Amino acid sequence: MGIKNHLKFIFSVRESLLSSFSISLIIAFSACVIGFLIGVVLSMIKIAPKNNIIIKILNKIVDVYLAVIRGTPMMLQLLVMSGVILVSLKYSPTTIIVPILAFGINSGAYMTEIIRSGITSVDQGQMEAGRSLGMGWTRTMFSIVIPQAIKVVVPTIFNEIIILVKETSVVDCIVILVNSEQRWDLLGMADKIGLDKPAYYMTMLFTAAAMYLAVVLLLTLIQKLLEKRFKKNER
Amino acid sequence: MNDNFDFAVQTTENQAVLDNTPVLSVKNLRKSFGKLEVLKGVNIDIHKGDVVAVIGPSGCGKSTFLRCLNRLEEPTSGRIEFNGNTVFKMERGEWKAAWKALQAKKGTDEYDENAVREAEIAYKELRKKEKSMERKIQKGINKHRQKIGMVFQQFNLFPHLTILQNITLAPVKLKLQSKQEAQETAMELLKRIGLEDKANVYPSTLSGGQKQRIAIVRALAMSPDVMLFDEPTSALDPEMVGEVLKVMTELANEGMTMVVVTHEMGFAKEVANRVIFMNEGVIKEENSPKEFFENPKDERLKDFLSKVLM
Repeated sequence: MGIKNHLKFIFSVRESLLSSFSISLIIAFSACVIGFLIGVVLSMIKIAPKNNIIIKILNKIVDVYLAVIRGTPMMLQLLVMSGVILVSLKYSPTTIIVPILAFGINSGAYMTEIIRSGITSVDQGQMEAGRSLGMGWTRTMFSIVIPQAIKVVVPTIFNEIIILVKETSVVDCIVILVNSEQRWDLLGMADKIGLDKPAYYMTMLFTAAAMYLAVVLLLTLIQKLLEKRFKKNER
Repeated sequence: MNDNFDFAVQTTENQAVLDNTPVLSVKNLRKSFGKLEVLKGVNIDIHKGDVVAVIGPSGCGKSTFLRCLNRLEEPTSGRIEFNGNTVFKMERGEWKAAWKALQAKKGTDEYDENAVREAEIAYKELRKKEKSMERKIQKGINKHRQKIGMVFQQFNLFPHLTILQNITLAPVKLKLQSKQEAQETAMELLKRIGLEDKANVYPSTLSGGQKQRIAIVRALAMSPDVMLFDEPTSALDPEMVGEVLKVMTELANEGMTMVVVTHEMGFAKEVANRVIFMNEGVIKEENSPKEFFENPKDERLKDFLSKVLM
């Protein structure tokens, strides 16, 4: 018996597993894109020379955003977001927009800090050299400082994406609130299938683990390749 | 009070050549870092073709002074003109002080309410003028910086670009030259310093002396009117100092206007036509190199020279 039966079982539920995994990945990567865009914009605000009042006010707002998002649990943010969308848009709280926005906004805070620290890690002299040649702040930023910051930022950005992929399993908490029969993400689906057939519960968990692992390993590989590519310029 | 106030920012290219406007004119320049006043009123006019060596003990403000000239460092007050164009002007501090002084007399017989009010109005008007002036200057500052070359102690080459790209980046991005032209100029300049074979390598493969020569060439590619050197040889191995000084000497002989903050007394003596001793945030002594080294007057300078010349 043993392994063969287990493999057969996995094969029989492959469609549910794969479709739920694709939902997990869609949430993770959409959130990652949103987070990255938020990160780029907000880190620019944090880094811009603070010589006018608008930048100063924006800076305070960004600080509050960072403090709140990094200071509260992801699951809480997800619940709040589903509540907000439910009330304001009269959508079902389980529409996929909810987790994408919640994860995107959450990840945006971390991306902001990652990009900001990457840019500040570039020697101040680079900005000065660019400015002394008569290039403006923005031009110097984009053609001199940011290209150097990217190299520093790549590993940490990938770290954040990897965390995001795994953290999507938290979505289960809002899905299950509305309909205990319904499951979206990979872990939730594996859990549900396992509970229906308790003999295969551990099998389902390990299958889910292997699938997460596969994606994370793939991401790590891409990260390594990118890092290598950026290193080439250095020597 | 200032007739040329509104016209000061207009570009007056080549004005320096036509009449005898100094390339750089500095008046009562002050700079504080918090409570620490580093520059306490520096005055100097630098004319075309001048090679000014600035020497002084560390912490005397000579680097700060140099960095204020192209506003990499924001001065606190004073006035800087480049080819007759105002690049910094902030003189309201004195007016405010005058107003406060009048106000302080309150309660005594000398207190004159009208004078206080007049001083207040004058100060506020000046502040308004200077603010609008500053906006104009900020718009033009990048244009001025293109013509003020700067060489740093730490070279500050761009490590992600090749040598050729380092040199052509600014002229091409600022649309002063086409890519082709910029590359030709760059190769010509590289040939002059004998580094044309390094055009396509990255800065990390070069020695300190080579890096600094490239940094000089990068600034020259903008064909500046004046070059500022911030201790260009201080971060170099002793045996590489010579090659950098040689390039600078050639530059001086070609008639480039230069301001050089340096510890190289030899360079100050042989190449500069004016030597300045800075201490405690002011210019303590200025003279021709011969007089300066043979016949120093300031006590602190005598002490300084006796230590560095041994």
